[in-house]
Amino acid sequence: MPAAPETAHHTPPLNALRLSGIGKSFGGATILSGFSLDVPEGQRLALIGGSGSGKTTVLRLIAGLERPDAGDIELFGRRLPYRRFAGRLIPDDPPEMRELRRPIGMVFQHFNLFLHLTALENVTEAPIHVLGQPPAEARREALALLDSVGLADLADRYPRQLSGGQQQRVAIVRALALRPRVLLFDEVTASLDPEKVAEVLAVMRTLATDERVTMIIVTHEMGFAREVADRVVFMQRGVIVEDAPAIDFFTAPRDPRSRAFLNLAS
Amino acid sequence: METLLTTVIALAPRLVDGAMTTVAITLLTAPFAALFALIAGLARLSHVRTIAVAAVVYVELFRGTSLLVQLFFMFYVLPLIGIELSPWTTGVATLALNFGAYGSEIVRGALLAVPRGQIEAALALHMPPNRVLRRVLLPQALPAMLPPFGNQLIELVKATSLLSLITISDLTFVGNALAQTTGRVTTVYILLLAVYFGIAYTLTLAMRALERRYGVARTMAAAR
Repeated sequence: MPAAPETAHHTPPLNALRLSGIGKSFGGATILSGFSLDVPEGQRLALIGGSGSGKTTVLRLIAGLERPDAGDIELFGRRLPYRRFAGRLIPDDPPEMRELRRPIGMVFQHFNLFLHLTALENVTEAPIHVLGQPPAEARREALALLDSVGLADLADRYPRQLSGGQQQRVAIVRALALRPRVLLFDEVTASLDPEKVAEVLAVMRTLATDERVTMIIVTHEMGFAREVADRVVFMQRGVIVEDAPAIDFFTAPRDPRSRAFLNLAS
Repeated sequence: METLLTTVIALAPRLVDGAMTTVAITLLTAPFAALFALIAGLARLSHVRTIAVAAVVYVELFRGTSLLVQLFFMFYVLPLIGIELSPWTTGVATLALNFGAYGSEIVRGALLAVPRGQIEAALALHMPPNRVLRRVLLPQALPAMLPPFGNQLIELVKATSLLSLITISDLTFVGNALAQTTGRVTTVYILLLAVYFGIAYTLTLAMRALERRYGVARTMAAAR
């Protein structure tokens, strides 16, 4: 277990993440309103729901790609420093904000590998230029990580010379290179050819065996969610419809809307 | 008996001097123009409103008025309010400001063309904004700027001829003088056209080489 940051009250178990009273709207359309969610450290949470349910927005708010309109985000017991300015929340201290978010890693639906860098350079970019790791050491670790997902041979290829599945595996390794404690997966298999989905899921399955890393997985792969997640949060129109242990959710969903969704998804 | 060849040989030294001046003005102006373009292009995308507005004012002012009038203004009016600049400084500064204004739109367009996901990936890796710009945005946007910047460079070569009107002995200035003193109007102006073309075409070839080295196709490695 990595050392947990000191919190005021010491109320175990430590939440990796706590969202409380989050509001978010885009151009008048309310996506989230009074949204709250606690994620204990080490949990594998599957966030599921139809399109427009707000599940991707939740991830993007956590990652800092969107700003909440209202509410608080806590990471490992520390509140992210937003302040109200002209009716909106803005980062109070951007460097501090980045520092607090450092434990978060994110993997995207469309991979978003840096197109001008090779696979290896994609992975070493942040360790060298954000963490200040010596380049030789960063390269060694990156190659080991690439090797662990079967891509060491392709380290010098550019993203456009790689298949979707290969790109996504590089993207996962890129996130891992910063040794995240919370990993966010935003529909990471949704834009892959069916035969490439398995290779990415295999990598994520391996990751899920590491108890120290908290995973929040937005996915349409119900079979995978059932297999890997400990907990399922099912959302509809920005609201949590059902929040249950994965086994219960998939075998005996309580809410009729969950049942309808599962019937459609399977 | 004076032949065409002997005329050309007689004119050559002065024309070469003028051509060198034209090339010097171009090469001196281009880096400043690129710098102004970069600054103004970035400023236009700033979230700070005053910075963005200042950039718009600069760009629209220099795009919306005549380059020749701008030169005359700098050359004749600035001294009246106590700002004395040499003709060279006046010429290079005005050209650079004018071409920087046009170039800023190239910069802005190229930056906006970088896919949003590239920026988000950088932010998700906790890069501070200046690193996102330097390590992700600019390396991807610069190759896309090369072809339109090449175009601007050719425009710049031709625009330098206006500096002949503020006493700089560039190729056009020398040509005009030779046409008057020798009376060989046709020969002189044909030579002038040829030399301008030679300079412009050389720069075109240089830009193409640059594109082959750093252009979009190469850096993005579209094909194996």
